[in-house]
Parts: sequence; structure tokens; C-alpha cells
Amino acid sequence: MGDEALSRSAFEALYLELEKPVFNVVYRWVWNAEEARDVMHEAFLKVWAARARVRVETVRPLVFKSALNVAANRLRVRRLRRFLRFDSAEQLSDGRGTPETSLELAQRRKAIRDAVEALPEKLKSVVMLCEFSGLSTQEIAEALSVPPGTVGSRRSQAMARLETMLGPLSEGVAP
Amino acid sequence: MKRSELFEQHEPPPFGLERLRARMTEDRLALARRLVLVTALASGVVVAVLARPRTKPIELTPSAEALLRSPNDVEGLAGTVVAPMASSNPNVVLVRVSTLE
Repeated sequence: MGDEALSRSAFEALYLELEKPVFNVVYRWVWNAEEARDVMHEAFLKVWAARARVRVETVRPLVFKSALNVAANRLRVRRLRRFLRFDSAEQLSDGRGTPETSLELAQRRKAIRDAVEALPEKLKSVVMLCEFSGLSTQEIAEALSVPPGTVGSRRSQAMARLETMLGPLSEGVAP
Repeated sequence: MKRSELFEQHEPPPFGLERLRARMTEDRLALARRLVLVTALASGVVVAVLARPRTKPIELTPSAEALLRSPNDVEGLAGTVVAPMASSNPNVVLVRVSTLE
């Protein structure tokens, strides 16, 4: 793709390409499938609104950057609402924990969520983009406005913290 | 713990693109509605400013006007000179009063 403006068809193709990766990143902020989709849509709409200034070759990092900003803002609002008692933590579940879900699986998911949420924002952004976005280190650095070397060091720190909380991570497919 | 469990891939809810398209349309309509509202509000302000009642000039009673227009008629002021002065506003009468004490 060259330096041309983002057309509607190119934008929709971009959405289809990035829908799952962006969703999976944002999901680790809001932990609710419907809200994650809503955040993702808001991020894409921001990019679409700014299409006149968007360069096609840098649009992928921009989508993730926008999604992370929207997700972080949502979290701030959620914390404020909770602080003001307009909202309760119970409403944050997205119904993934069906009665059929085993207790052990539910506990493991909660442990994962607790460990991910315990990560500082900077480390969490890096590790989630590295795992889900499909972006190169250079593009992740661009999305987060940090030097490429910082991406590597933050990823190592994040993984070390996750292993401290969850135990050693092994390769392979989950049961 | 398995790494794949930590970074489990979730499927986004279905019909994402359709909902995004709907939101894009909604956004355009909302923008148009906002433009109409702002234009209507601005027009209302302009009309209100232009149509506001003007301050009417104070109407003098005939006797007061006669007195002011002939200041030399002032009586009982021995040693006082009253001289009318030019005024650009017909509703304002200027006089110079000089008293010898």
C-alpha cells in the first residue's frame, strides 16, 4: 500500500484483518466480550474519523494505539464509577463462566486475570501487543511511542512477573 | 501453566463489521443532527439580538423642554449668566451657568 488516503473498502478490509487481534488485546483490559467489541469499534471509528491524516503504511500500529487509549479510558471511567458506587465489580463478568465451567477452570481463569491485571500498564501493553497483535517490534514501538529496545526489555519484565505469579510457563496447548 | 492458556485466543462476538458499519452511519447522522442544532441555536441568538426592543429616548414634558430650551428665562439668580451651548444631540441641552460670588 502506498501513501494514498484510507478508502472505505480498505478500512473495512483492515477491520476484518485486525478484528481478532485488537479484540484479544482489548479484552485483557475490560474482560468483557461485548465491551471489548465496543472499545474496538470506538478505536476504529477514531481512526476512520482521522483518515485524512492517516498514512496507510502506519495505520496498523495506529489502530492498536487508539484501542489501548480507549480501553485505558474505559478502565478509568469504570474505576471512577465504582469509586462513586454507581457500578459494582459483579457487572464486569461477561458470562463466560457458565454453570458447565469447572471450578478448577474458573479458578485458573481468575488467576490469569489477576496476574495480568497486576501488571503495570506499560508492561501489560507490551506483552499483549507482542502476543496478539501480529505487529513487528518496530511497529509495537511505534504504537507505544517507545524505542524498539524498550519493547524487548519490557516484554521480558512482564513475562518474569507473570511467571512469578502463575508459575513457570510451558509451551503447548492448554487442556 | 501452559503458555497457550495464559494467552488464550478469544473469538470476537459475531457481526462485528455489520455493527461497525451501523455505528459509522449513526455517527454521521449524529454529526448532521449536531450541525443542525448548532446552526439553529446560532440563528436563534442572532434573531434574538436583532429583534430585541431598543431603548426609547426619554420624552421630556413640554414645560421641562421649554425651560431647558430657553435657559435665559431662569429668574432669581442675580449675578448669574446662563449661556446656551451647542449640542449634537437634540435630546440633550447644554447650558453654561456662571455665577459671580
